[in-house]
Amino acid sequence: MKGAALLAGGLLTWELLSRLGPWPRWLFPGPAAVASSLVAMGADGRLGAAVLRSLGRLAQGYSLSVAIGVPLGVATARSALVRTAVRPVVLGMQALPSICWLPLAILWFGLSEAAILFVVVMGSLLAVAIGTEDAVSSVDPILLRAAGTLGIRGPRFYYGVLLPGALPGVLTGLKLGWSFAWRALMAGELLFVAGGLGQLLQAGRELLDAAQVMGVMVAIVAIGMTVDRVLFRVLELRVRRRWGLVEAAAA
Amino acid sequence: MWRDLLGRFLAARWGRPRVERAGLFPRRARAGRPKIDVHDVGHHFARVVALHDVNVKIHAGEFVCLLGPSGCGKTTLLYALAGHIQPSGGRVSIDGVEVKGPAPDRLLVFQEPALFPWLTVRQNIVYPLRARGLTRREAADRASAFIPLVQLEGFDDALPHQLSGGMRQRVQLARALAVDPAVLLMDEPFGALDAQTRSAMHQLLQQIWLRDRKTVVFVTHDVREALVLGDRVVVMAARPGRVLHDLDVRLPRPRDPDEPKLVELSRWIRAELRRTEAAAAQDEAEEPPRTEDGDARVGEGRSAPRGWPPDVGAPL
Amino acid sequence: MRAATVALAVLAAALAPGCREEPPADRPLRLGYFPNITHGQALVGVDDGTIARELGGKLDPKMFNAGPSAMEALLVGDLDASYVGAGPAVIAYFRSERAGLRVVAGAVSGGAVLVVRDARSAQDLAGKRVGSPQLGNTQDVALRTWLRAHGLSDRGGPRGVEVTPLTNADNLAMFRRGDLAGAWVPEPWGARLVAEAGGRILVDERSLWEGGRFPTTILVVSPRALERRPADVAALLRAHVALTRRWQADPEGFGRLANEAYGRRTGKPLKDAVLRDALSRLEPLDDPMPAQLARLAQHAQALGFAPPGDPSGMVDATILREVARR
Repeated sequence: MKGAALLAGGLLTWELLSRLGPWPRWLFPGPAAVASSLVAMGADGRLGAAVLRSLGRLAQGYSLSVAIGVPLGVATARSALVRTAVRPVVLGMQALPSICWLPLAILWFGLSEAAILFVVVMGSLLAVAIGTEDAVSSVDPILLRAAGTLGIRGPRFYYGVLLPGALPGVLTGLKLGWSFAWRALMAGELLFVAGGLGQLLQAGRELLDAAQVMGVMVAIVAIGMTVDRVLFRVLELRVRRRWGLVEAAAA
Repeated sequence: MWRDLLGRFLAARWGRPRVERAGLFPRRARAGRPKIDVHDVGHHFARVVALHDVNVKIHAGEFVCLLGPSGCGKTTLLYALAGHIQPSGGRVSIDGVEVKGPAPDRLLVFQEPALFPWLTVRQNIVYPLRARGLTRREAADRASAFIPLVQLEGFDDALPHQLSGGMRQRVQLARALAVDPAVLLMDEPFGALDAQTRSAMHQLLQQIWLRDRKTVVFVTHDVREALVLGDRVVVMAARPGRVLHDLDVRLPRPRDPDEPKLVELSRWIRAELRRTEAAAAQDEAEEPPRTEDGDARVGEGRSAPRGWPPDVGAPL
Repeated sequence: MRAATVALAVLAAALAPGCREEPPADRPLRLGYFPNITHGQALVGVDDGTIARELGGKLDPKMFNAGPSAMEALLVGDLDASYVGAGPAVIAYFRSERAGLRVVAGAVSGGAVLVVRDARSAQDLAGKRVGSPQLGNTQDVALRTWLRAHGLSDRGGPRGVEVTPLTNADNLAMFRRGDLAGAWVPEPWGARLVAEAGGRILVDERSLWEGGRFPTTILVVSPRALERRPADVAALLRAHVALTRRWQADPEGFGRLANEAYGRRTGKPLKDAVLRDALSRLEPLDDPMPAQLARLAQHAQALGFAPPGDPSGMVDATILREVARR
């Protein structure tokens, strides 16, 4: 209730600033103009197509990074050899903003889907791997001992003990990886015209349409928050409840 | 120093405990090949001597309690039996085969319940059985048999965090029994429980043992617990970790911890332990201490050696 | 302390888009242009000092790579005048609620072609991808309008063409790799696509306009400059008219000078044959062609690139007429 009032107040201030501010309104459109731009983009199908395209790419790129990142993280946590060889590289590359992969992506893959996917994967893979490694390293050793004495080994150990044991932590890594993937995707989509929200944003800029730029930004924020707050929150809560990490009664 | 120690050791060995007739007898060598043979085992962590020339022979079907103060190396010895630790000297063998790592014939029961938190009670029992190659049907049947045995009917689908500490420990016990190992190694499994739950667990464990007659090695620092449960109590002392007495307990079962005889025996053992400790303290006052910390337990946790067991899961 | 200053600066920047300090009248005239053969007057005039001489040395030339960024600069007051493609100028005019710029002269007409790999007609491009230099630029608008006139969508699909705005260099590279079925580009890129990538000209844009003339490059100024420093604008136009006449009188010689200036900026002058081919399709012309600009505006509005509005106030040729009369 209070939140809604604050939001309304903020929007009103924004609209007033836009209308009465000293700068031209077309450079600083108000919420009404942004909303009508969003509606227009939704009505002629541009927004829907762009969202679908972006989410499709994200699904591909993110699945790829999870498919590589989780085993990589497990390997780093479990093998001293891999740790020594891979860890410094992973940590070093983690410091690299994903946009730095753009030039290499273009050289290797040209202006193609593969280039965008590459940027998304490189942007999120390391966060997933590091998160997984942390989670696996901090699995309660007593569980590993129990698995050892109970004779659980091989794939059953990895899928039945190690990964479930690390799951709450792995989820945190996955969430971080997702937000990195989302950012990297937006950077990658600014690269060249290939549809997607990043492109819609760029188009707004090229047509000097600040309302469209802001509208797309709102859409990007909304999607990012939906996935983060709804999908991951729910998943995390369920896992934490099952694992007994939060009081079941509290929920 | 050494001569003194040896003298005290011999005295302990041959100076008959005066309480003999009351139910404790020095261990007499048994005929036949022992199930577990601990021969001249020594172990040290860095410069700390955890175990020094330990010799214990355990026969099939015996319930042996390793009793001693913290730092006497009882947990280290148990982990050596489990194969989670390679002792630095001597030989541990089971059925004549040297122990090189964990194996399906031995199972360790921890002080912590060590249940998989994401699995229900039933799944916690079924999963290891499936991992050991039992069919779905066999595993389910065993779970159905052992859950009532530890008095957890109706809790099949409960998650570990929904259970009390005692219930969790019973799940661990059921899981261990369902796996049906030849040797059960128990590391103060009831140490963290309140007195009442603990005594209920003692009754339960006695019942189960009387039924199955498994070989059990049970580590504890609680003298009464050792006397209630054990056929035999191996009393250990610290600095260095060594065997002080190896005693047969001849009391009728099931035993009651408040039985006067048992109370008297425990008083005697406690006095014996105090005497040893006082002598050691005197030695230390005369000589610079050999070790900074005689605690054989490693790891910031209570009992488990630090780090991961080297043999858990496949190496990558 | 410093952090607080930075925070204040960020806040100020966030709150004050377009509020720039007014430059004093004796400041140099800031002129935007692109390193492109279709900006021949600017390339030659900046390098041989013609423009600076007319302005009494008060010239600050600024190079841009694309129309939208030059128009952004003009609208927020970082530029006083600019050579620019007609498309971005039209969009900027309507986007700024017809207050952001005035067209004071034309510069170049023609010089835009659709080069294809093997298509024989618009229908052959259906389901394929065609490049353009920039979303909403002159050639992009022309391509989309032409596709729609032939019953094709410009948004892809089996009954449409996927119009892909790319930089000119990327258009060439992707055309060569076979990733583009065609590209609607300005010269000299049309000539290069033909010479270096084996393309064939399907449409010469001159054939689509009455009289074969249409605005490719134009000269725009900010209303502020027009109002506060008309003398400088007049000086710029004098130089522009002189340069245009030189180009018209000696296309080959002027073209060589323009190519040298182009080479100095890009590091790679055009080959003679490519240059000759490119120049053959464009024509220097200082007429701002208001009728053609109005038509272009209608096209851009029909595509949704520019908000609706009346294009009649866009051209202000008073100073040009005065300068030409002398």
